[in-house]
Amino acid sequence: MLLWQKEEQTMSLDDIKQLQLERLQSTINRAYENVDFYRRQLKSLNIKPEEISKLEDISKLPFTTKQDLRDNYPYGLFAVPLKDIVRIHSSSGTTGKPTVVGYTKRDLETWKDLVSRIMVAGGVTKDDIVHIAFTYGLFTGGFGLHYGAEHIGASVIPVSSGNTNRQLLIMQDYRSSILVCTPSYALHIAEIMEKQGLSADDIHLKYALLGSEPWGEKVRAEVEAKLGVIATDNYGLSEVIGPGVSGECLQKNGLHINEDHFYAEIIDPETGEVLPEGELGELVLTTLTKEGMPLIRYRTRDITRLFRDNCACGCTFIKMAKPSGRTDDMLIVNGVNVFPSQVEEILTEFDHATPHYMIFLKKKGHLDQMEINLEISEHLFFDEMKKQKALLDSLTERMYTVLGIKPKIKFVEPRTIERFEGKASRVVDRRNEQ
Amino acid sequence: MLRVSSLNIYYGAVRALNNISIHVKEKEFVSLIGSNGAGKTSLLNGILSIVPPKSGEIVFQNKTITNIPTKKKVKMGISLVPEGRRVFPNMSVYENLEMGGYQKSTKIKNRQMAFVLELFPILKERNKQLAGMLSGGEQQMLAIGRALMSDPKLLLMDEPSMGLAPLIIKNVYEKLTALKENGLTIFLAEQNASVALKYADRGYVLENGKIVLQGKSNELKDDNEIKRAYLGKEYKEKWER
Repeated sequence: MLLWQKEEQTMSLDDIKQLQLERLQSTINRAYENVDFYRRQLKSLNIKPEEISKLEDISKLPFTTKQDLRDNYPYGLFAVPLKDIVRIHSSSGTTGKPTVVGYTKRDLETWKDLVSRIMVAGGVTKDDIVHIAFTYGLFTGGFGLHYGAEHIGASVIPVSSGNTNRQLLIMQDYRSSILVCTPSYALHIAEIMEKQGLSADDIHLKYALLGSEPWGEKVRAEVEAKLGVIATDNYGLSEVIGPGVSGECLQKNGLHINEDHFYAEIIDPETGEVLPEGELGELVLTTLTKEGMPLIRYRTRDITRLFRDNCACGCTFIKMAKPSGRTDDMLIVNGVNVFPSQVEEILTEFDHATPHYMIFLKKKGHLDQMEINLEISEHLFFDEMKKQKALLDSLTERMYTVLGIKPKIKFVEPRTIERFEGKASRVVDRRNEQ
Repeated sequence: MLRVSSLNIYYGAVRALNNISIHVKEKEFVSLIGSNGAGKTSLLNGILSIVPPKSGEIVFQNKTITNIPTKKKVKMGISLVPEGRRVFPNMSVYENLEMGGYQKSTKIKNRQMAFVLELFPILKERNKQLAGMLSGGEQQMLAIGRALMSDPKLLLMDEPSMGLAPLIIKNVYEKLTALKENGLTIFLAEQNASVALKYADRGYVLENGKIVLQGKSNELKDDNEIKRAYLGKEYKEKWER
């Protein structure tokens, strides 16, 4: 059995429910006591923490959204003073306010174990060489998996992202046995290997733990064949903890949620109503043990469904299906989260840019490419090439700074982009068309 | 072994316990820590029906026992060592122990007596002395011994360290650890968080009748949130250094 914390991961359903209730009650007690936002919210709805006497009572509580995190920027949702916080992560810079999350020492210990569970379930052992090609920095993916892998006792190479040739050199020479990155980057590596005339036999990979963007079975089959690995999916979001929320075991049939630490619900995104197990809807997560920044009923905006099966891996935790979409307009481009509203806000900073734009998402090889078609003011379009070039450069640079990815910007003639009546749809996603 | 969910206890109109949920697994040693007046004794009393809970559920060995009488709960295998020992001062050590097994058959009583006297040699030595003449530490041993006479499966204990010198506290806790290793399940209330977390497997932190924190003892040991549960917040602003 590939279980890192067997006692916890094989609990009976009754024991899980009891533990969840105990932890939910103390989470709410602490949040009410220590976080103004939650106290105000509950008071305004006239709800007392002691009204939560069974798990289902959680539906009485209001949701927490990303906007709430922004409104309480930076530290408003922390439940401990900053001197007890030992790590701060944040969403990448946006034009609006970023979201900030803080971890206590105990949170980091918990996080390590949760990531270790997912890595062990995905095939990692202490004898492995774990090659992490996630970006390090404010993004939780790199550090999250890094500490989980070290905790198992594996040898960790913090390669970080980019420079695929160097990645391949390390993979061959350092004999990386586990690859951690986004699915699209795994495919990109495979493509470069092909170009260099390398095959799966020239590298030493056994397993790939892929995450941070949605992907399907087709991609899995391709990664597995081209890199010679077994590939599993793992899921997490920085607001909740980062990676370590859920992950596939080698059965590759749904992601086990670490439900002793997170309480999962599926809601109807329109009405907010809790849906029965098995139905498709938006995933809502409540942290059960987080000290630094507890989150109550956080709307992930990811669409999935929950189910229990007698998984052959031995883990009794509930599963979520691979997320199949979003309930908001967030785009995931090479693992980076981008909102069209960010693009729009950047455009307002530039005099000659108009608010008329279209975003096209395409595949360039196996990587995502974001193209923006933008109308510029008439006189700039017709006369000044030099100024046009300058605008193009500074826009691209600004987009890169804010979004974290470099879009390809194309200027188009005034009044050539469709004018929308009612809700604009400015995004065309062609990544799944070949 | 023991599962308490959303237990509420009132004294008149005053709510002493707010939705308390805890569990203790077989052969586990779990502590309930919190400052004076947090509600620790109320929970132990509630578990044994000494104070009847207003709502909530208590399950012991898969049987719901929420409101059954204390005497029956003791018979089922739950035993309490009360706060402040409460030995019978004018009775001998031996008589005190006998009292603890009054519901049991002679056979069980004899077996438990032998077990207790072996575990606490000092009680064997002082067999015939009046309990009132024993030191505080010896009285605590006697109180534990008396609770063990009913052959409990679950031992509840209230403030074992109260009024005892550090060395004696250590002694008492070492005996409890030996009992745990011998297969006994222990749930104790203790104000002295550091000693409880040193010996127990897990802990729950009670503050104003609510559980605010829980976890394995080694996770809780250095947690500043425990200090706050005892002493209140020492900060006004989150960013204060």
